[in-house]
Amino acid sequence: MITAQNLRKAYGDKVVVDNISFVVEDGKITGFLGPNGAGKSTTMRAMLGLDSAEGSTLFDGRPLGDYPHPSQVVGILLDAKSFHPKRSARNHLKVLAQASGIPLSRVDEVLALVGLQDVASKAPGKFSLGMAQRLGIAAAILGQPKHLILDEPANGLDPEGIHWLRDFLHQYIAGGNSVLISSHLLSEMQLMAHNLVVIGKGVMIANQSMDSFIASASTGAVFVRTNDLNKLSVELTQRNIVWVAERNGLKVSGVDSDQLSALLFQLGMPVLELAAETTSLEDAFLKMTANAQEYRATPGGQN
Amino acid sequence: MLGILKSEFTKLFTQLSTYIVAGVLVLLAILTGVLTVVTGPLLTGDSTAAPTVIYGAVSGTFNTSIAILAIIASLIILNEYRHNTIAYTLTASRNRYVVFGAKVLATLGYGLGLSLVLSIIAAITASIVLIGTGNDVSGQEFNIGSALLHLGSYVSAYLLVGLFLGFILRNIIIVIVIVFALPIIEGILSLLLKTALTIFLLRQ
Repeated sequence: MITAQNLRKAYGDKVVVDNISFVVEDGKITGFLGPNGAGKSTTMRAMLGLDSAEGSTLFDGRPLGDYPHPSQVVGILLDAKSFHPKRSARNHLKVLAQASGIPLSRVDEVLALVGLQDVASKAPGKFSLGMAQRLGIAAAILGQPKHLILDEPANGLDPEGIHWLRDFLHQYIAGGNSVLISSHLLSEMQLMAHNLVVIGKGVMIANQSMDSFIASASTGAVFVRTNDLNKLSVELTQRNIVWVAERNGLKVSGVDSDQLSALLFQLGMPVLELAAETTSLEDAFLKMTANAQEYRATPGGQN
Repeated sequence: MLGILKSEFTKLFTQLSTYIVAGVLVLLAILTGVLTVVTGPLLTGDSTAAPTVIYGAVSGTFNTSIAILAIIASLIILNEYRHNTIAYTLTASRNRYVVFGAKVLATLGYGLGLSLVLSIIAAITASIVLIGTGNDVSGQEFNIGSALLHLGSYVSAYLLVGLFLGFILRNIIIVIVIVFALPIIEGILSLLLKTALTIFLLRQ
């Protein structure tokens, strides 16, 4: 378990991370979300002690500095291109293995695991972003750490790569490990993460399970289409049920789909379409962070 | 510590620039060895070479290579920040002083080792040219202990300055400017110290 407590980082008067606390549970993937400039990377660096910051981060109850080889406790991927461009992929990992007291036999194991065994002797300077990400993941898991902190590991991965990453991380946590992962690919995050930590402008916005985060942003409305919308709207109004016309049907709030279908049955009206409105992680995220965007584009591309 | 030290040496010996720089410095050592003899006793028409020709070739090699070694030392740190590998390096051990200590040791090991090789090459080259031009090398004065101490400490100082500049400035251009300005600064400081000492002695 990773426990971040009261993390705070300021550059002069500008506070970029303000009193952030959260827990990354074992056996779960925790998504770390926030708009650009929200302070995600700074928080991750502060957790690892790479940036000086107030607060503390405990890995299984102990500070990272208590472990002889921190990289065997937490694997990190903070930047996909963190390697010397002319040093081969194998030598890059060999350097990391030597420094962390990891057997060199592990180097070829992780290269095979991430699918880079055929380019192991090539300099990674010419790797695609996806290949660089795989090398970064290989570096992160080299020491078989219990925890992983990954900053945008899905960037640049092709669909097969993203699928591989998702499967890999699910296998990884199955052994009781924990993963903290940031990503702007929200649809992917929705499939991957169990818990979410959402920050905006350095402040905690949400810290809860994926399901409850999405549910908290859901309107609970039900879309219905039948053969006589006028009659249905009158009936709903008489029952003080809120509705709005939408497309060729009605969007009804305050009742669930079971209640609405029962009402239509009672009125003898056919149900042509009935759907509970679903909220995606993207919808929920945009709603929750609407006031926390550091950088915002002009709507419609206007000047 | 040993693992981190090994890792630092692996970093050095798994990048092309290490070999390119070593190759260039070897050529410089050979050139300096030749030029020290050719522009010294032969051009002046002396039949007997000055007794310090070989020592001159070695110290000349140091003078030409020392700035390059200091820049290499600074690059050892700068590359970590430039290629963002510093996060891996710093999380390799719980003690950051051990990490930086290993880096200093690896830099000194590489720099001093290379300097020793360059010295031997310069000395051998100068000897060959001296013998080849009919000079006797038996009269050459070369105190190995003194040379190692003097030149070794000088190289070490430059390597440490290079590392320090790389760490605090993190900009190779500024480092290069300062490293090449060091002999001038050194000269000015030496002059100031000599002047101050003279004034002090005169007042006594």
